[in-house]
Amino acid sequence: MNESVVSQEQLTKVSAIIEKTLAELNDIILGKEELHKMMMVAILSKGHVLLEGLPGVGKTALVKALGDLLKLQFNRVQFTPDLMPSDILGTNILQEKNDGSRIMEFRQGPVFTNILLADEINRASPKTQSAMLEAMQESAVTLLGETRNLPHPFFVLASQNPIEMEGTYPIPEAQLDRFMFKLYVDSVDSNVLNQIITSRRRGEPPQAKSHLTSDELLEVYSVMGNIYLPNAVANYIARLVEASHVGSCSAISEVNEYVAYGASPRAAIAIAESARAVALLDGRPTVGFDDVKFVTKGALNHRLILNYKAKMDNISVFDIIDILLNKISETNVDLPKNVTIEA
Amino acid sequence: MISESLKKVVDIEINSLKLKILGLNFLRWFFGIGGVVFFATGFGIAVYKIFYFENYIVRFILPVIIFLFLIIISLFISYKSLPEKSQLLSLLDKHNQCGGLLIAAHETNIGSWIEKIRLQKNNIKFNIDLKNKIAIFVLAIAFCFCSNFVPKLNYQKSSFNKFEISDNADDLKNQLDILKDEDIIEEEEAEELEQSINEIEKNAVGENPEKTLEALEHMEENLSNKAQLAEEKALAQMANLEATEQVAQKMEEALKNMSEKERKESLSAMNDMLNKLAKEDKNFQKMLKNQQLAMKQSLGSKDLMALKNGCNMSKEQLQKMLNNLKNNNLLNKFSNKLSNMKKNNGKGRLDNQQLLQFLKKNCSGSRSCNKLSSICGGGNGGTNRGPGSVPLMWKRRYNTYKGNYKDEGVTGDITSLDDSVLLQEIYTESQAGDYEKSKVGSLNNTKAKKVDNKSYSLQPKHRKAVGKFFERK
Repeated sequence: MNESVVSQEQLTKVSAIIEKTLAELNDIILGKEELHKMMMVAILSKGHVLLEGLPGVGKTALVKALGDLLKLQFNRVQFTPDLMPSDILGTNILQEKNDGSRIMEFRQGPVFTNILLADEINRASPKTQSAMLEAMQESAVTLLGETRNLPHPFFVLASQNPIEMEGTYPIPEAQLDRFMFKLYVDSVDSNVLNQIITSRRRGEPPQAKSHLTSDELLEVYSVMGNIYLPNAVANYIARLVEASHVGSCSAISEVNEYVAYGASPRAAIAIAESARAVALLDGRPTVGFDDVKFVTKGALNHRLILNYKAKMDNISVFDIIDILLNKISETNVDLPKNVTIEA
Repeated sequence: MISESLKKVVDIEINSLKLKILGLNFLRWFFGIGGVVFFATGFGIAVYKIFYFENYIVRFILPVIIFLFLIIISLFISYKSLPEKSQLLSLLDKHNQCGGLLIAAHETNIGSWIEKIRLQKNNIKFNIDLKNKIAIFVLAIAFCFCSNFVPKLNYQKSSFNKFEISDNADDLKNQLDILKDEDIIEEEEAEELEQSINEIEKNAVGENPEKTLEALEHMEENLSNKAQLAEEKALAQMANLEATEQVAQKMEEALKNMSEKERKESLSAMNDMLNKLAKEDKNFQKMLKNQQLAMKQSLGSKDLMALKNGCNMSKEQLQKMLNNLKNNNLLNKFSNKLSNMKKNNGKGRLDNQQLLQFLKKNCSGSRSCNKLSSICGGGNGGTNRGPGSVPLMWKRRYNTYKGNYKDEGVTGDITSLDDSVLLQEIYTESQAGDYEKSKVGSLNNTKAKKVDNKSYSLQPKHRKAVGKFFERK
């Protein structure tokens, strides 16, 4: 029988690789298993991630560890207010040949890599931030009319500091939308801290024992393409995103009250892709409703823009997402409100 | 694709889910709609019970019909709102932790993954909380039941009979007419009062007879007051008039012995008294005015004597003539003419010809004037000469209608020429023998003057005279 989904053997193999990598990551960075899973989901679904957290919580360390684990080319750019687009993308410089003639030669910027760590991305000017737009969406850079493709895979793992906002530039919505997830990096509890202090000298993470090779990663990507998204689940994703739109027929009352702008279609795509990755991580060939719920918060939290009433009523984006997940029925079965289902 | 064994299990589960959801939806709609419907039914029954009917069958059958109808409607809506199979599959997939495998198995070929699907029988349980709806429904049923005990409203429209006061109203109207005839109240006021009486009569119903009687009493009192006031006033005037008459009589006697100056003063005082009386009494004022006018227009005694002598009339004839003149408003003119004629002749005698011309000029065609003309100018020998007075000649009427009437001579008392019409004057040639009789003192054998046969046909206009003249057989 010709199967439309990935075979059990193939999936088991790929799952084992990913689990191994994830376990390695958990060993390197302690106490952030869920964040690591989300990071892995983003990597598997080829999405960019924006990490937000206080200084010293391990954002850069996480990205560096991931770069090390994946055995991919890794570049780090410290974004500063005087950083220019050419500092990221690269520029043409005049070169003298051996025969004495001169030629304009393109010198690649740090964006030409597999994993780009854009550290404190909100400190660069909007002009420089915008230079990343094409790279993030198309995995290509166009300079002086010449388009150059970036290496495959290409991830932007950006970090930003929620405090010390002086001299920073909020990331434009267009660029925010290009990040698959916006993840919050919290501090760890005392047990983990104790573990870090006792097992790490100067906080330096241990070296990765194993790495995910490019071939393995390509295999993972090929399996990802065969993860089946059932119509009912796709319909659920669509209804979720539609319900976040103010004034839409399926919008819930809280959305109409507190949301200024809803999620874009890119959000629905991001949820679907990342849900596949979650299914893959769980060793399933099909996407379930729980997979969607797992990634929805990360995918929507930077895409929903709340109004001032929400700020006044102290309503956060996560509150709205929780309401959406509770109120939008996965199965779309019209049941009385006072009916609860027990399994 | 899905295996037969799994398909069976899935179908059983789906049917079970369908039944459960149907039941849930039925309860939801039944209690939800039922509460509203039975409250409405109860209200309807109560209203009908109060105002319209006492039909026990309808009162008990109606809720039963509504109950059955509610069941059918709830079932219909519940059936229509049953979820599709794909939705139930999703439900099964979700609650059996299949991770999309069950849904995918129905959509695509999942190969050996189908073995991973684990379905538990009757895994999904629904809990429904219908406490509030059931409570409302029970209340509604109770309300509907209690509505049967609402008492029927017994009331009658207030229908009062007409309160008969037409006799009283007629009495009042008669009183009003009397007051109006006696000029005690003005025309407008009389109309207003009559309208009020009509209104009282119209609004007189048994609902509030005291009000009607009160209004009648008030109206009666009002009219009585007016009559009483008028009577008092009339009595006072009568007393004044009597006193004035007495004064006048005494003054008339005293005037003979008064000097000219005293007479003038007395008459002036009398005049003031009369004027004062006239001020108080309009009728008297009117009467006084007419008398004064008549006095002004009347002829002096000398004039009358002259006229009497001039026309060779008796006193009665003169009186009649003057009455006629007065009736034709000619007395004044005639008086002036008479004065002028006296002045012109200087003899204190009237010229018949002049008098005749005056009458013909001023009142040609009028019966009275014609009579005067005949007296003054016509007849044998005229008015102041000739053998003697000319008697009026009456001829039998010619019956042109060939009707069977009894001709009757007009008796003396109704031959008054008042209001009579001159129909024709008939002249006939004098014939042999138509000579005037020789008067006493005339010469014998002298031939007297021929007499013109001239006669007048007069038709009395007076109704009484006409009635007697033409008496239908």
